[in-house]
Amino acid sequence: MDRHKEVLFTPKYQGTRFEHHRFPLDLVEDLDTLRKMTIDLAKHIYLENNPDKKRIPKNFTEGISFELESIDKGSTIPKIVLMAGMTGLFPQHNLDYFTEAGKRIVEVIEKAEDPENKKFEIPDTVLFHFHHLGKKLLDDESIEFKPNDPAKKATFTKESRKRILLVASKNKEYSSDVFVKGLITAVDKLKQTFDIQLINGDKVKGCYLPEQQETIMEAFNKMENKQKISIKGDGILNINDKLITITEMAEINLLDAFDVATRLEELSLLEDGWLDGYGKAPDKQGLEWLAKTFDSNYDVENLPLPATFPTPEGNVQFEWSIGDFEISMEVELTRLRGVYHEYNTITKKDKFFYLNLKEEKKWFILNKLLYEKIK
Amino acid sequence: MEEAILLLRQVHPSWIQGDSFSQQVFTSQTFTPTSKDEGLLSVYNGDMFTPETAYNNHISQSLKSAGVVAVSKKECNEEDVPVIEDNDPFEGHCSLDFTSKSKGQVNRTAAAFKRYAQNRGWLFQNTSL
Repeated sequence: MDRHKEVLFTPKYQGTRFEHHRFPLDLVEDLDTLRKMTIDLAKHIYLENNPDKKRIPKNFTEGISFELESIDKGSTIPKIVLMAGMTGLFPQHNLDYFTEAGKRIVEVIEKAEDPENKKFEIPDTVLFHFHHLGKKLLDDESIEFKPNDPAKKATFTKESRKRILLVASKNKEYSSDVFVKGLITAVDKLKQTFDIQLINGDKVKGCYLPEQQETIMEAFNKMENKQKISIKGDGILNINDKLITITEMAEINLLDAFDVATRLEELSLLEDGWLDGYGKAPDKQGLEWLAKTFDSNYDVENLPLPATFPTPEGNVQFEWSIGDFEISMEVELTRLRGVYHEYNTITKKDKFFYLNLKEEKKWFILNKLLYEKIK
Repeated sequence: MEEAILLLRQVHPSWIQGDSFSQQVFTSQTFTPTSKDEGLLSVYNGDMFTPETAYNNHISQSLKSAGVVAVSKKECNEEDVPVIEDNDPFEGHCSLDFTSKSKGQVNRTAAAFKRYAQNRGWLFQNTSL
């Protein structure tokens, strides 16, 4: 049987992850969300256009299907088409409601580009679906819903998503991907909930799945030993981006006491005067850079993690006590340079030199020096 | 001053790391004078203060401490660091004199002091942190 095809969405995903024209599986939910949103809005438009009707016809979606036709190049463009049955030579009559719904969804996204826009012309029940659209977008990523329109590309970002959700939320809250670290301070096994004290001191509630209980309990039982955990999942945030609750955990890990990224996050909370009135606060961007660079270049699998301390000058000092050696590397966050010092406590000889930490090979030198000490 | 006397040094809470009190490590910066110290590092005379009384004295001045570690007078001698019994600003205050040392020598001495103090272990810890 002949079927009518209508291109509904050609969202162009932009960002580093899409440079090779692949579609990450954690974004597949976006496509199904567009389908659900379109159906709900099509029903709304039907009732809007037929004020005498109280209900949607039972077979309203019959013969209609949403299909992923292709993933086109030009970043990554999943092409979603609407397939509809034919009535004689014409597509079935209710198709227009779906195509109109698609247009209105794109209009909402276009309007949300303007931070001043606080009103969207579709019902909150449909806006609610935006909780599941673009949830896994990263900070540097966006989706253009009108990629071929030179004037208005209807660009959807984490920020515009937040604006839409805040409009739809009575409590002025929105959902987002979260990645947090902290201490488990309470567990309710009956309700399968926990309290976590985040690194910045905020306390947040969360819920866990039965298979996650063992890890949660281990972290809770070691709370007094400052056992921290990291959680990747979904959460609800308020208008000021403060996390209110963790609604779902996708990943949960016990952290090493010397985990460098966690420690650097703690140091980012220091303020000027942290050392009894003295001591400059480390630069936050510098700390973020160091966390990423350390993670990419330091051989965490084979080398001991260093202890990480702030310096009064606003830098960071890594320290290792290995065998007879006391080793330190002060990282100057403004110059991105390491000042390496090793001291042999037996021979009392020492070595001192600079390492340009922007260069990968200098991290190899650091790794090599440490391999020699742990032999 | 006798060689066995311990010179008690407070460790700032931002300068410790570890998952349990027994395993907490501290930075060698604990034994590095900062620019405000002008080369003189404040310590408590272990002949006049116990680690706990030194801690209490320190925090009573609205200064922070995670606990107390120490080097001995003998270890100061070995690292060529004079100990000045200045008793100023209070009775029992001493200064470890780094004024004649270059930056490199200060770092070397701080590393050596850290190892001495680490081997000796914590003499007092603030368990509320």
